[in-house]
Formats: sequence, C-alpha cells, structure tokens
Amino acid sequence: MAVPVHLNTFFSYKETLAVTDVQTIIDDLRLELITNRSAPNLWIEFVLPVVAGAGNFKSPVRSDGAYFTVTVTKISATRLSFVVKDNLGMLVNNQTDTRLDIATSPGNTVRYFTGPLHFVVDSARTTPECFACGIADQTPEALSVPRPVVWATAGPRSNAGTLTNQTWGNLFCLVPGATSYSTGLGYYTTARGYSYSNILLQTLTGVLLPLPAELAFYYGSTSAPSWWGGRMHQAVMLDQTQNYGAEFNVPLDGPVTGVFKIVGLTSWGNAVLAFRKATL
Amino acid sequence: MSAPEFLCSSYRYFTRASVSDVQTIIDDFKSETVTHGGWTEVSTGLYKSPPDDLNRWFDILLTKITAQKLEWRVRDPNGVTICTRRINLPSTTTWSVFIYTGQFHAIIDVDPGALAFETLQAGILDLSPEAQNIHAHYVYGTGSRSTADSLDNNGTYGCLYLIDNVTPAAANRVSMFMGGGSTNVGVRTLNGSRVYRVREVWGYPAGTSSGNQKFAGRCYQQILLDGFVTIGAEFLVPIDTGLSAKFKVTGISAQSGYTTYWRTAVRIA
Repeated sequence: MAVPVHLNTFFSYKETLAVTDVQTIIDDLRLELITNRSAPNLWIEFVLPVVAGAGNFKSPVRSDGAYFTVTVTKISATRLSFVVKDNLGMLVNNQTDTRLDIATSPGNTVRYFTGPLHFVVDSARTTPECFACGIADQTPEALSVPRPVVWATAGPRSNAGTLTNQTWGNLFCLVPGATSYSTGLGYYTTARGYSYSNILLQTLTGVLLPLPAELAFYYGSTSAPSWWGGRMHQAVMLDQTQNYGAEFNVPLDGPVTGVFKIVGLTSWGNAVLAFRKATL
Repeated sequence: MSAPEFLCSSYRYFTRASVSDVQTIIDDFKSETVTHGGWTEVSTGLYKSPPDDLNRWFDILLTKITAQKLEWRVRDPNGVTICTRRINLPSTTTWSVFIYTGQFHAIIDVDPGALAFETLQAGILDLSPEAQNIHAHYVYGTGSRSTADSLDNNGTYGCLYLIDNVTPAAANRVSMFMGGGSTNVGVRTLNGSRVYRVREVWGYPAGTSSGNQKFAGRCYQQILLDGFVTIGAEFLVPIDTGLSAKFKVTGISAQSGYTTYWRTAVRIA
C-alpha cells in the first residue's frame, strides 16, 4: 500500500482564538503560507494588485505549471473577501469575490488548513463559515493532461455579503469547453450511494466511512460521457451526522493515520467535509 | 500495493452460443461451479458455494420452468431466501450465454438475440476492512424478472435484493457516484480515460428499514465502467502494480428512465 497522492502532499494547520479583526486572518495566512514555510511548499506574495492591507498569495508552482492565487482583502473588521484565480488568470470564484465573516467582539476562533494545493479558512462562528479552494489531484493521469482542475467554494457569502451557498456541494469549476468558471449545487461534486442524498457514510455496523472528496463536471447532456475532475487534496468526506469541529483519525496507509477536522461547509450528498490537521 | 480484497477471490468464465433450452444453462452452470469451481450440488439443481473460513456461503436453486424460463432462488447460510427471480428467453431465436462464477459470485448473463439481455445475479459482499462476518447482510441477488415473469426493474443496474433490517428486499442500492445534476457522474477523466468504479452496495442495518442506507460491502470480481461501452466488450484494468485483470461488460440494464451511466463488468481473466 501507499498513501494516496491526494493525501500525500504537504499540509499545515493553525488555529487562532478570539479573532476580532479579519486583518489577523490575513496576517496569519502570511505566517502560514510564507513566513513559516519553506520550499517546495512555500507560497509567495505577489505585489500587484496592490490593495492596502490585502494579502496576495500565490501557491507553489506545480511541475506542470499549475498554481492558483488567492487575494484576501479586508472589507471591514469582521468581513473578509477572497478572489481566486487559476494559472491562466481566470477568475475561479466567478462572482467578483466570495466573503467570510467573523463575529464581533469577543470574536471567534479561526482555523487554517493549507498546503501547496489547498487553502481553507474556517471561521468558527455560532453559524460556522468556511471558504476553501485548491487544485484537484487527477492521478493516475499525468499532471499536465489536459489541464489542472482548480476549484473554489461558492460560499460562505456572496460579494454582497449575503450568507449563501455554504455547502461544499456548491463549487466553482471550469467545465470542459467553457470560457468561464461556473457553479451549481452538486454540479461538480460526487456523492456515493444510488442517489446523492440517500446514504450515510457509515458501514452497516455504524463505523464511519471516510471517502475522498471527488469532483465531476456537470455536462448538461446524457448523450456523452461526463468528466471526472479529481480529488480534493487533504480532504475527506465524512458522515453528515458528525459535528462541526469534530476530529477523526483516518487510516491512510499501514501505520500512517491522518487526523481530519470537520470544517464549516454544510453537508451535501449527505456528507460533510473534513481537512487534515495532523498525522498520528 | 496489493489488489483490493474484492478482486482477490476465485473466478471462472464460460460462454456458449446457440442455446435454445435453459436446461443447457443449468448444465453449464453445474459444470462451472461443481465440476470446476469447488461448489457442491446439495440436491438436484441446488448449488452451494464453497464456505469461506468464516462459514459464509450462499446457495442457488436453479429450476427449469419451461425451455425458455429459468428460475433462480438465492439463499444465505441461515436459510433466508434473498430472492427468487427469473429470466424468460424467446423461443424464436437462439441465445448466447455468459456464465461468471467464483467462490463469492455467480452471474448468468444471456443475450437472447434481438431483445435486451436478461441476467441472474448472486453473491457475497466483501466487507473489508471490517470482519467479513460482522453483519449478516452479505448475500445479494437479483434477476431480470419476477416469478410472474414481469420485467419489474428489480434486476436493473442499481437494484439488488439484500437483507434490509431483517427482511430481504429489492432496492436501488448500488453507488451511482453522481452529483446533484443527473449528468455529472464522472465516467471519464479529462484526458478521456475511463474511470473504473467499485460495485459497492448499500442497505439498512438491523433495526432500520427506511431513511438513509449504510454501506454494506462490495461485489466480488465486479467493477463499473461508463455506460457508453458496448455490452460484451472486454477491458484490461490495472488492479495492482504490474497486474491487470480482464473484465467483460455484462448486459445488466439501466434503471428505467435513467441513462445507463454505468455498466457492470465481471472479471474473466
């Protein structure tokens, strides 16, 4: 056996308590992605566009040239904006930007799950808010054939600040042949069971069944094959009955066990999403 | 690496063309299972699979109803009848018969000529990494027709009989790997390569008979591949480092009203 490729990339986890100003999030991301990180997992901060206080982060360039950028901008003390672009410069979260809130004083805990191919900010409000994006793992296909798959959540908030599309089933992806990224509930995600909404990710004996979070493309046609988009890095689907913030030990290979923590993306396909925070 | 458990059981494959009487199918099935496969014929027409080290087995009673009608009763080791199903083949054509068997699976797939394939299926599920006997819902089965010879959709792609709660029932329970839209099931990679899926099965544990299904196990020696392939086509699928297996696409049909996103293929070599 071997650790699957999508779980065998670098990952880092950080948690900051009582965040009352989203500038702390930008500063934390800079620490996580750049200051405390070294090559080949080192992100860089590109200079343009210059927005005062913003973080302009570029992921490490993969061997096929794929990367993604995340521009993080403070809208107000409690509201943050994310703009994600792929390595072609196309806007991934194609709704101008996606926003995330923290609570007013005394604030709330913010968690960061990051790596060269994934970027997650999880705001542990009373109603949790989570923004995530990344590049999918398409192995066993070659990295460069035919193109990287970049994804981003459509929520937790629209560019108007409205809490919407908080589920991980609402992703932005680029459909083959399309000229811009689009989103739709369940359009780019893959569930298990006969339908996308009639199973629990447990065995008949009640043992949890962590499974890869996979992407597929809504094609709008039943006369041609639809396309598989790969797996999210360092993420697993878990049974939707599990609580936000709960942590699970997932055997990855022989003695290697990963610790995954459920983030604030609401369930889709009767599953919630958990990202890796540690290895036992 | 190592091959997944559900691909590590025994398997055999036999085909015969120009068949016109189901007795020939029964005779061939007996030859494949009893003569060559380590099964036993408990009584006339009743075939029992080899028990594993946890004494899991299933038996199949094959009954010739007429020259064109074959009935198949599947039971688990506790004597519970999982299903009784039939195929009904035309008298105006001869048929090609494909028989796939092993310790944990048995499938009779019949191409009747101009009409749609008719199929009988049964087997034991792979429950790994849990203990293989950790629950008693591991025998499945189905067939194209009811005992009234009706094509009732209980023999289609997603539907199998399995013990739900404490009673065998037909239900759509095979993973479709679908998104919220009915056309995003991800059957090809962006490079055009086929995606091969495990034929995994879901059901209700004891004490539950409705709501959300839970994972029951995987069908041995079977995979799913996209519904755009031709029935009867054969594919080499890498199953371990340096090891490929050959699978043949069966005629197991799609759920009524759905496009056939996935075809079921069974290992032949």
